Amino acid sequence: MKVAAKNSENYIKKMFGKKPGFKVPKGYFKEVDKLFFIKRSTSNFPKKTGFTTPENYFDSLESSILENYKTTKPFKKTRSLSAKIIRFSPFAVAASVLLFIGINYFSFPTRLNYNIENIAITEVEKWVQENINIINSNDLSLAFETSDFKESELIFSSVNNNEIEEYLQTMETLSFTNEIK
Amino acid sequence: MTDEAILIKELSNEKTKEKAFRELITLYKEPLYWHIRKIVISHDDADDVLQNTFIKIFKNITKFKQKSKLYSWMYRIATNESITFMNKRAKERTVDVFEIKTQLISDLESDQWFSGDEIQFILQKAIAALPNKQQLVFNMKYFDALKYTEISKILNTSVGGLKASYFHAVKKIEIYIKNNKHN
Repeated sequence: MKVAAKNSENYIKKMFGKKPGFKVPKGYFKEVDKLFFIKRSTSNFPKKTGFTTPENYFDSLESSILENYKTTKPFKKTRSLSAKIIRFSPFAVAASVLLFIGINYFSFPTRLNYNIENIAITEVEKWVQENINIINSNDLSLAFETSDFKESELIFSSVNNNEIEEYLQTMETLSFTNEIK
Repeated sequence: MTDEAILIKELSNEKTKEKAFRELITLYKEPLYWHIRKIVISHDDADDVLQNTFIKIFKNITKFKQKSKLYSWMYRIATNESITFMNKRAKERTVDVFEIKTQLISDLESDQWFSGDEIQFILQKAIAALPNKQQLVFNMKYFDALKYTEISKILNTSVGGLKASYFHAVKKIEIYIKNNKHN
């Protein structure tokens, strides 16, 4: 008897193996502890929300909604203010540019054709006075010829010895050496 | 053709539209109402949002592509309408949505349309303290008993994400109830 049972068992093992053939969803065993936790916790939660409605509220809802639908205005896509601004901004920009160009063209004075001969001497002198700090004396010397100067107009003809001595005292030796070179 | 397909066809037909719409309301008014109510809390607000939801469904039924179940699509509209309503209410009062919800829950004790006991009141407070997504997932899974695959279509979130949200929601609620329960 036992031998027969053993033979049957061996036969079954041979045919089907030891596995029952059942499957579980992927990742099931990773989540099963969480599932048990949820089941245990929620078993203590109340099953109802406690919310109620007026008596017969649901009975007349169909008519109420249909009536509401018939009285509502046709659905219009409303744009927010910012969406409207964004929509019209390219046109606004283009209009602004055209307006600017137009104003420039009609109201600003015509540009003068600047010519060195047209610049007043007084304008040049004014500019030199205001920008003396940025003017390089070497550049100035390159711009003039000896014939441009009248001896009587030269500054150093009116400089006295004291002024020269004062000037020399303020200079650094190296700068002085370079100058007399 | 399934019942749902027949209903959608009738909703799209001018001659049968109104009759079909009435049928649609009859079929889904209660589940949609309770879903909305759990988000907006107040009955009067839930009634307004439900009306707007059905009107939106009716106006947009021809745009329904039938890629999901009709109920999932309607549920999604109801969810969005509820969230929009709460956001609008918060903006009007220049406060956070969380504050609005907290205030609504506080008013529940004196609300004539709330007959819950202490533990139900604490549960509502616990849910209101959750992040928005977890509130939605918890309500849909626990009270509405929706499957994760259905919730996934409604909220456009992965099943894995929903499971995580629900797990965290339950954990937080349990802690909240333990800390606030007097008996």
